[in-house]
Amino acid sequence: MRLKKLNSKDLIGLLEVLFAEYNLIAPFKVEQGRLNRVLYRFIRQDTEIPAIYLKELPETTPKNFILPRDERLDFNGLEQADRSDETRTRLFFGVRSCDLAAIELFDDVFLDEDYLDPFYESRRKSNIFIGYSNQILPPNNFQKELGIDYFDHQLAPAFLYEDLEARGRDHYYLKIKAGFEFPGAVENYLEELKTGENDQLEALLSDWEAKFAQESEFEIKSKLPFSEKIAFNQVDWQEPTASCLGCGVCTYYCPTCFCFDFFWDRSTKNRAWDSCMFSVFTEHASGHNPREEQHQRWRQRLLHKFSYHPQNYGGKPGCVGCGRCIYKCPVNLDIRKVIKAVDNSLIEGGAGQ
Amino acid sequence: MKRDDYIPAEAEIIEIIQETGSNLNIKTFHLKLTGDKPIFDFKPGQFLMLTVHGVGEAPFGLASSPSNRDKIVISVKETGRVTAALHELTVGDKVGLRGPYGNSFPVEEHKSNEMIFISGGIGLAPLRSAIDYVLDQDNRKDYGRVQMLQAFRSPEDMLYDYDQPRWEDADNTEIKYTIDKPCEDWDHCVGFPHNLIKDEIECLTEGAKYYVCGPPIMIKSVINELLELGIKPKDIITTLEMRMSCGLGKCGKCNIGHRYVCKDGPVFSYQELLDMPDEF
Repeated sequence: MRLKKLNSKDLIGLLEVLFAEYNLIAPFKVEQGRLNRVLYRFIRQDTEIPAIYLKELPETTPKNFILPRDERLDFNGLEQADRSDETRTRLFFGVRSCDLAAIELFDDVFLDEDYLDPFYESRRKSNIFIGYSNQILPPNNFQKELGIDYFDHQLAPAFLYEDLEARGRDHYYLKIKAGFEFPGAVENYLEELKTGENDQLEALLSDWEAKFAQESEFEIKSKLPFSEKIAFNQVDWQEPTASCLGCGVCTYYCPTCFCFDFFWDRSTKNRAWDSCMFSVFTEHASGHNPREEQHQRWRQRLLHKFSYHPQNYGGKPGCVGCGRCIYKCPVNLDIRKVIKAVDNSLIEGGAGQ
Repeated sequence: MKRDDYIPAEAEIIEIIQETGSNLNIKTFHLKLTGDKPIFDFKPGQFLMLTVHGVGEAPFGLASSPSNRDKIVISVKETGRVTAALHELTVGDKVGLRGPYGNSFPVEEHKSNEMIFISGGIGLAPLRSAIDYVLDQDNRKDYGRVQMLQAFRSPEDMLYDYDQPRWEDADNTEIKYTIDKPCEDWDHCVGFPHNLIKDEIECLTEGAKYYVCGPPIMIKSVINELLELGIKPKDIITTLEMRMSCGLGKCGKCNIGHRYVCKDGPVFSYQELLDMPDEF
């Protein structure tokens, strides 16, 4: 493991050398009408680098690039191994650990041993990620309760920590994992940087962790996966989900929602995200619908993440606790409230273990 | 690891059979893969994804026995966008096919048993793959008596009139037909299938397997009646349908609990359904 200490200027310099080597994707603050949103986008020229915005959790995640909202299933393009836009590795910069855990979950689904999705594979194979954290716990975040570390993830060979209170000094730490090497030009640049003290970083991260623990009181007592039968039948799903409008915004901002649909544009087959919160998601052509009511769709969304997915994928939850669905919900329907209702029913029924 | 790129192979419609009158409009399509390897290997009970180019894709149960490998048979009721477009096509038109997908009827495991097939309407289509397999000359001796109870709305809605004489004449095979309401010139049963099982089928509680397919409400009521008669859940086999996009357990639409109808089904025993949430 190598640890570097950087100031703002050093970081811009590092991003400039990374930009020369990679297709760089990073979060930016953009104005859309009256909204200020933080979104990932490609960097087209190095003059954009100083505008990269890391402080807040971005609204979007690398999902938008790996399983795009809609994509043309270009069968011929897949056969051409060297597509010009795929030749350079994509570097996602500033990714939170919860969003990295979401990519890992996608890999489980789309690169699994039964069927491999070649479109996913082609978008996934040349990517690297540099993780990011600071001392602000993103709003509504409950990733720790799902076993996801705040400050590290195996998909990121390097992680950047920003001490916002030490701004103006060398307030960044860059941790590069043992055995990982960047291309030569980047390594040369890293050589020039100061070495960080691991003890100092460890102390900083443990302060942050303690602060986060105070701020996030949410607790899931039952073990995952939630018992399918009991959670499905014995929980009151209507009461905690009654305010849901069925707009689906939770699933569109969710970094782990991967359900999709095909649609045709003349002879071209396309894929687009779909949402279990919509009634047509399961409606048969005959009109029969196994999930006619909105609370049944909520049950599906919640149990897919906390029962079905962990049952199918080695116990791993289908949610990473990023909190976006809570922040984005137009009626403030908090998934933690619904999880709690299920959790309490399971504990009361003795099915929590 | 199997790669599947969701790309359909090209198939040609080689025959279209109008099965029913205008009120339900079911057609049977015989298809053949074009290209160098026109062989489509499948097991009874599996399904395929059929693309009508420019319109969409939908799952259809294979309706023929795999012993007949030179054509692919599906029966399609005009219901939604894809089926309506498919009904407009004519012999020689091309469609897209992918598959086969899903598990299959446990016909191998059920050798030496009596076989009972209970169908409602187009639910007979997927059962036809198992019926023809069991009644196939090479396999017939491996199974005991075959009984069928086929339910249709009206005589006009009956399927496979070209198969029925062959099935009726098969060794040790009995077929009962029923329609919803009495009508003239009908000398078979009348009424819903669950009300007729007790009188029309000789239900053994040992050594017999019950294959049931039809609309969800029919499946549920028939299963209830079989259980009343003492049939064990493991001896009742059904095949389910769900809206689905991929057929590979990824698109997230066809799950019942943690199991996917496309991948873990479409064939389930009632014993398995008992362990799954009631959401189909």
